[in-house]
Amino acid sequence: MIRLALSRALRQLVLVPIVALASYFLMAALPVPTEEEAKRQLSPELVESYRRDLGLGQPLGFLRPWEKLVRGERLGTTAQGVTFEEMLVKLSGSAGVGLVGLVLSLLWAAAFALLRAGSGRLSRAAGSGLPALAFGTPAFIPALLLAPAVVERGHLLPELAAALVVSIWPGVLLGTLIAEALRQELSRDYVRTAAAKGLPRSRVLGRHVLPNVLPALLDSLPPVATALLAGSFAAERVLGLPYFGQLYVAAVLQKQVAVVVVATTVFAALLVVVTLAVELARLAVDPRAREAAE
Amino acid sequence: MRRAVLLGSLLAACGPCGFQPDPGVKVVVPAMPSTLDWSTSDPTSWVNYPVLLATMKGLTQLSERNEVQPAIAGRWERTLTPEGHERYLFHLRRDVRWSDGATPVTARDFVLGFRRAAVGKERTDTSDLLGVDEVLSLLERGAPRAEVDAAVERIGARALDDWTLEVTLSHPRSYFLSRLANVYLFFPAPSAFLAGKSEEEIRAYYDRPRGGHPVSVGPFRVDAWDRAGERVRLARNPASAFAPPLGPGERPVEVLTLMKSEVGPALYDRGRVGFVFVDSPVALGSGRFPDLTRRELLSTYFLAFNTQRPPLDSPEVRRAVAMALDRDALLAGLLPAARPTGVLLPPTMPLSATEDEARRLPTFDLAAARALLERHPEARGRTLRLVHTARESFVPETAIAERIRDQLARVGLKVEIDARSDFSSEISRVAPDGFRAHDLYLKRLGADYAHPNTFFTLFERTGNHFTGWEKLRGGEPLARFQALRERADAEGDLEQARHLYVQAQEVLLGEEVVIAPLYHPDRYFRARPELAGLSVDPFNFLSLGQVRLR
Repeated sequence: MIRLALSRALRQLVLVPIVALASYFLMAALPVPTEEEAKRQLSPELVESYRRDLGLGQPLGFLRPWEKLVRGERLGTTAQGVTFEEMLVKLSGSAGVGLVGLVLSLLWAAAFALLRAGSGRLSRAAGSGLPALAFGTPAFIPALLLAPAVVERGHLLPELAAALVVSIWPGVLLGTLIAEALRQELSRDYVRTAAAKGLPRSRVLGRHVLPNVLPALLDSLPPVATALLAGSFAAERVLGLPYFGQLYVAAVLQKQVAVVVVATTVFAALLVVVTLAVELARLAVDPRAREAAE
Repeated sequence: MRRAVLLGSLLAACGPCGFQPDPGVKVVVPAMPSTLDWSTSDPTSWVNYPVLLATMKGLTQLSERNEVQPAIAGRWERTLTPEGHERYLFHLRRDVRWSDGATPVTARDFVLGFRRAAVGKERTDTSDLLGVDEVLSLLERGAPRAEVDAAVERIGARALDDWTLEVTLSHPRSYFLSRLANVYLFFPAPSAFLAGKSEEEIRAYYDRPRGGHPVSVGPFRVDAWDRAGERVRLARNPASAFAPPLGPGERPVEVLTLMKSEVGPALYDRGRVGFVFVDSPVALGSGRFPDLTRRELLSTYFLAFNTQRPPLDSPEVRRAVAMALDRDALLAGLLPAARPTGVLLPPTMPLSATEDEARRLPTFDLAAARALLERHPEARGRTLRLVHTARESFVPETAIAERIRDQLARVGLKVEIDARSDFSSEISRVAPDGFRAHDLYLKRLGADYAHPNTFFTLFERTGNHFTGWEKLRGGEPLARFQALRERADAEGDLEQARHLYVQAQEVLLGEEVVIAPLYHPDRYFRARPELAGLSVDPFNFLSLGQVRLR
């Protein structure tokens, strides 16, 4: 079973070097200082530093960021770059925010699914109105609303606020999916049969319906994880958190190619880990997945 | 209950986890530095000034009245060489040390700083130094490094001994001492710490602060710089010879953090930062900030004319426009206070015009404006295009532009307003008819140093004024203007220099009416009452050098 999960994750892993190459060539395509500009603005040392950073004019130049990483050099130009360790520290901050955001998303999802399951007018109105509100509101707007209360407060308040802000959109999305899956499952014959045999509703839900709904939830987790990490970039900026998002945006703007390539790749690798975790969870909870594996 | 206690304990244990706010005083700034290497600087140097002025010092400094005073140089002598060069002999104070507390600031540090500046990103700003022109031309034609280095060795900065610095300028420049106080290219470089380092190592030395480096001279040194987090942390430099004197009940600020925030005013309201700029016209007009402070800038906001395109190619029409503008009414109610003007040089600028001299320039006179325009009926035939910057600023540009349009309508002139985010390229754009695309534009000019020269350089032949006045009457007025300015720059006698600058101003504003000055802008900010000395300097930079806690 684990072998199957690993083989699937390995297939995902193939995407990582593709992402690395794509990010390198995209960054290399960005305009760099021309010779004319270099004469006016930049010292030859700085231009050379840019070229080395890019690996321009070198065979296998796209391996330059990794060469820097292996040698323990600073990624990016000497003065403005970061070490891999510094990058990992910043990534751990963003990943922490994303992880808490994921938990909050699941809570939002459960609450929203229950709300949609209700039959009152309020439930119906909320069921259609909340997604429109959540999907139409960029993350930085609730972040700006919360920012005055949490920025410079420490004690994880800004981090929690960031997690809360980025969890809303994915939470409502997951809730919509779960509610729809629940609705379909609840209309199936086996549910009516179980109820007719006198099983309590909670037992029907917990024992029979939810295991059938979980695969749909698990399928949507990897894109939700991506959205959470990407969403945290905007929230970090507004809430003054010096984590991966700020570093990543600054690196793109300053054409720090090595930083962008390594950061993008680490980001992609992190999502592969999420996918692997989801696959393992699916095998643990879904007998059909286990059967398919065997 | 047990679960609640466990959760509470976990949360309490996590108190110090995650990102913690910096200790000490925090100030919100609009931009982070681009470099801390003051000798080579950066084209966007304004972002570096707050940090560099708090950490460094030059040979001179300015008094409250913007007059030149000794700083690292305790005294100096000025002479003219037989070749016509201006030579300064600076005698350095012997009690000034770098922030390591042991290394003295010597003349060699200034020589190294000047030499690095001569090949830095803003090297043209050092072109007054003898020999820098040669360096610039070598760099321009891509000469070999050895040749450039040899030329740099020859520039007019020599250490006669540890405490005596000889600086030679290619021509007499009366503004040079003022520039030394402000322009950080002329600050010393810590030669003892940079010796033997490659160019990249030097950049890393400046731009990756750690372990007490880069060393500083001013009241603070840079302790940490988180680029991604947009924070610069300054720590007190106990070895500084320029620490602000402490009054009764005052103590020094040990740590000061400059940070960017999207919600700066809200953080100030909640007491979590000690300083914030107030630029929003709505906030300024609300009158709800008892701690709002106004600082007069050495700055002028003006209306510039396209002197080539009819009808503004006529000096009479330009004069009529300048006289049709009621500056008081233009600014009434827009700001808590305003300093309307008809002159380019602010009255707080040394060597500026007297009130009598200022009255000779075009001022508001509606009847005279109408009379002038009667002689030019063609001026009322075409709608004039007024361009201004479309961005949030402490200058209420949109409101002023609208009021100009309304005021000019009173004399029969039609104006259309074009707010541009690409303002700089728009005012330089040439339209298909061969003229620059604008008729009028609005711009704020700020002083780089406390000397009239800083205001005149924009209007020189090579300046980015985009008024076309270099072509007026074959360039004669501009040549006269430049000659007056150059004579004033070279003049040792201050009253005589002032007289010449006033004449140059009259050519620009009175005779040719190339621009119509409107007002001298001020900057507003809020600072906690417990923070003494935290202010904005006349050059619009956050001033941290005198800050202390009450």
